[in-house]
Amino acid sequence: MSIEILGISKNFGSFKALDDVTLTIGQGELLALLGPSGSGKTTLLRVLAGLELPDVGKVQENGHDLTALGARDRNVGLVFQHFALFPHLDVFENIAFSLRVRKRPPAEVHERVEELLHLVQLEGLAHRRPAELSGGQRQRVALARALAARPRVLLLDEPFSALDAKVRHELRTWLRRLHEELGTTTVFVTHDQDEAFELADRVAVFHRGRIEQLGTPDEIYDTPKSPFVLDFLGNVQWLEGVEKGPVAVRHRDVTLHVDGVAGWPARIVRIHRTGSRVRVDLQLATGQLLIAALEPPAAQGLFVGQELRAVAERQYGFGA
Amino acid sequence: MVRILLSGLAMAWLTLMVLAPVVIVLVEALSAGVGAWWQAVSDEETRTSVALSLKVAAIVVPCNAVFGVAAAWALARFRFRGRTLLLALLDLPLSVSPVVSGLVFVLLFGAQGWFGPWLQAHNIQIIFAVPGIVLATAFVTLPMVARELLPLLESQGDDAELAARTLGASGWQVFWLVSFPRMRGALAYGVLLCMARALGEFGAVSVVSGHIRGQTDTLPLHVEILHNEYHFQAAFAAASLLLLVGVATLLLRRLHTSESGH
Amino acid sequence: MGLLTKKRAPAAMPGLGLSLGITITWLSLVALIPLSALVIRAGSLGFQGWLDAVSGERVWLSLRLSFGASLIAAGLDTLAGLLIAWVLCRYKLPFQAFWDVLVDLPFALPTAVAGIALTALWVPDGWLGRFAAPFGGKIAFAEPGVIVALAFIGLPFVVRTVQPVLQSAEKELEEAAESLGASPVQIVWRVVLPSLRPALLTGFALAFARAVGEYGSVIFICGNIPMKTEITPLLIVSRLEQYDYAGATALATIMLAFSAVILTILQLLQSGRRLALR
Repeated sequence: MSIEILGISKNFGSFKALDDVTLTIGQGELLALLGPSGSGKTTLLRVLAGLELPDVGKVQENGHDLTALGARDRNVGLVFQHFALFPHLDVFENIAFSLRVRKRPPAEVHERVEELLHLVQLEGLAHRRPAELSGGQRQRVALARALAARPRVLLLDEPFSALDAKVRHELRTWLRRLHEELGTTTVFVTHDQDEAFELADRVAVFHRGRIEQLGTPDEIYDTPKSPFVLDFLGNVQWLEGVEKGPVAVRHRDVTLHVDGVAGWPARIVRIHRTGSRVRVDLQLATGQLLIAALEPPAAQGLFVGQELRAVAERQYGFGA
Repeated sequence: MVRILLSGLAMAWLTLMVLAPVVIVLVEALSAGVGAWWQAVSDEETRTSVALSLKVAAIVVPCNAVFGVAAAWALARFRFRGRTLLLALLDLPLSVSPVVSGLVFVLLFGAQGWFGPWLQAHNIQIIFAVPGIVLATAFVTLPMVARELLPLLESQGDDAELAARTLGASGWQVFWLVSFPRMRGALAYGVLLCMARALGEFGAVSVVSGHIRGQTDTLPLHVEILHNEYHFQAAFAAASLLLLVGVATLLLRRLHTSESGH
Repeated sequence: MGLLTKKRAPAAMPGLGLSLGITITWLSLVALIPLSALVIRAGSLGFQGWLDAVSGERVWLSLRLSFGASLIAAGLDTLAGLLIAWVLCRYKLPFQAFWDVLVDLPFALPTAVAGIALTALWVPDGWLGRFAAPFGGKIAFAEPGVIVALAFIGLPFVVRTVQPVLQSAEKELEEAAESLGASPVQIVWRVVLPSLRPALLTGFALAFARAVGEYGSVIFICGNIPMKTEITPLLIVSRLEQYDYAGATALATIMLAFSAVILTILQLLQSGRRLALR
């Protein structure tokens, strides 16, 4: 079962939220829609959910047109950024909601909800209200609720952005495992490249309503197709006048050589530790600042004021 | 379809239940022409009743404005034992029946009241006289300014005042230079509401006034007298003045809320 | 002042003594002392005296009318108020601002004006009364008139408590329900109404409280027929007019106690709402 998005455009007034987007999502795939805010990724998710009608284009499932189907009949599981749990219902009834509105027999509802509570590890909390849960617990309730009616596709809008850093990391790992276990086709929206790369099979990078690049995390990281993608992935800087035309260099691709002859002459301005790496600020002969993010062993013996040569193992030029 | 049905029902209810009473006041007031309206409005007794209403409001509103600022300040800026009780008591005058609000003053100052004999001995008239009307009006409009200021002061927080304090301002300087300018809008609106209510209060005033024509007749009481005497057109003409006050309050409220954005 | 338990730092925030002094003085003079006079006066009747003053068929009938008509009126207000709040929040009406202002009119209209206007509308040959007359329905000078007047003054309480809740209601909740397969009716019934329940209850209680104590807008339309259309506040006034202070006082204590109970319930509803929103 694959989902095809064919030539979808959507305008809000004069703002082009989606501009001729075409994309195929494979059965069981975990796809990330990555991009800055306003790039169209959330709009595409809402079009997939049936909450927005595209101006042009189609959504198909195995060649079967879904575009005209409302959110109610589409049977997708949608997890909202702020979870949108029903505050007046407890955890059990929140998860049971999609089954209740389908008038499933109580015994079946009970069984399915118990199964989901087990899946999201919230067995003891069935009768709590959402207000009594932590952020991570709410997230898991929202996920269980979305999965209850066995949706054809699971859609997550910025699923971790409302959580604090530690919980976010735990849930990422957990979601990846869950996906492997269930195999539900999953699309999630994020503005966080780490999140996209860590979780997704494929990543679609969005920019101004268009897909700027689509590929596996490796493809996107190693061969960014445009300056935008490269910039968006971050930890990169643009240098002028050291080569022909402007080039982009990733901090982690810079190596330093005390005795080398090749490379750009540079002087160390500042050295400091940033988490797992050591950041070295260098002044180039052109006056520009270059940042090198080194593995700690490579930074040993370096000192401020030292003159040496900097080599960029990779440079990106985009033929400008 | 559902939208049209529901919108129609809502507009019908508002039209029949709320708009129609307003329209009929104007229609009846002008039923004998503008001349007759003017005659009713400029009638000697109507004029005295308007003057009395304005006089009562002129006494009550400043008192309740000062009270409102003080109460909002104390309740919003400090936490003390009994604060919750004070908050609840503040609401009481608005939820008590206006008839009860008038009655309590009769029990205190009426001929059979606690202070009745003493007042009589000293020839002081409170009930069936202006002081009674002032007291009853003050009672029913008591929390109106405070109610407007309290949420504002709560939401503003006390950072600015504390900052002024650390910059060396005295207590009064803090109030006049920092707090007062920021509460001016809400204060003006609270005063307006208080005034409108003071001019229009009927039940409480009716109990203490004694309906002495030309002496203890406020404008709403005058409307009642005219109506009871079957001078309907005159009653509606006098009522149209009160209606104007009410509508003006509503329009100013609209301006106030669109300005302060809530 | 022994009232104070906690001050941040000495004199950090100025003016507690003065502001609290003014507050308590004026509140006592205008409200607390008069109200306690009422309570003490009622106490001096003794329990038997009090009971005698509030028993009798005329009192019973007035209480039944006051509370019964107020319940019906507040119920009508809750239905109409929910409808109007919904329409104002969710649909765009022609002249939206006009209808919105109109909702507040019963707040702003002096009760005596409302009273004579409603009477003129609902008398048998009035603009609206004539439609009821052919069906043998008498509105003005009968019980329905009382309900009409009370429904008039109570409407804004419901609309204005429900409206902000509807406005701040997350559209997401309804979208979530929709994507989980709920039909429009199911969304309203299972998601929208439950989230409005506390606000509806509060609005109902406010409208009910206001209606029970209401005087001005009712006395014109009800016709003041003892044992039939005599509301309790009116009975208090007529007892006062006959210099029956004891009888008036006893009835007033019932009204005062009712206000206190409603205020407490509203307080509980409020804290319940805060808890639910946490």
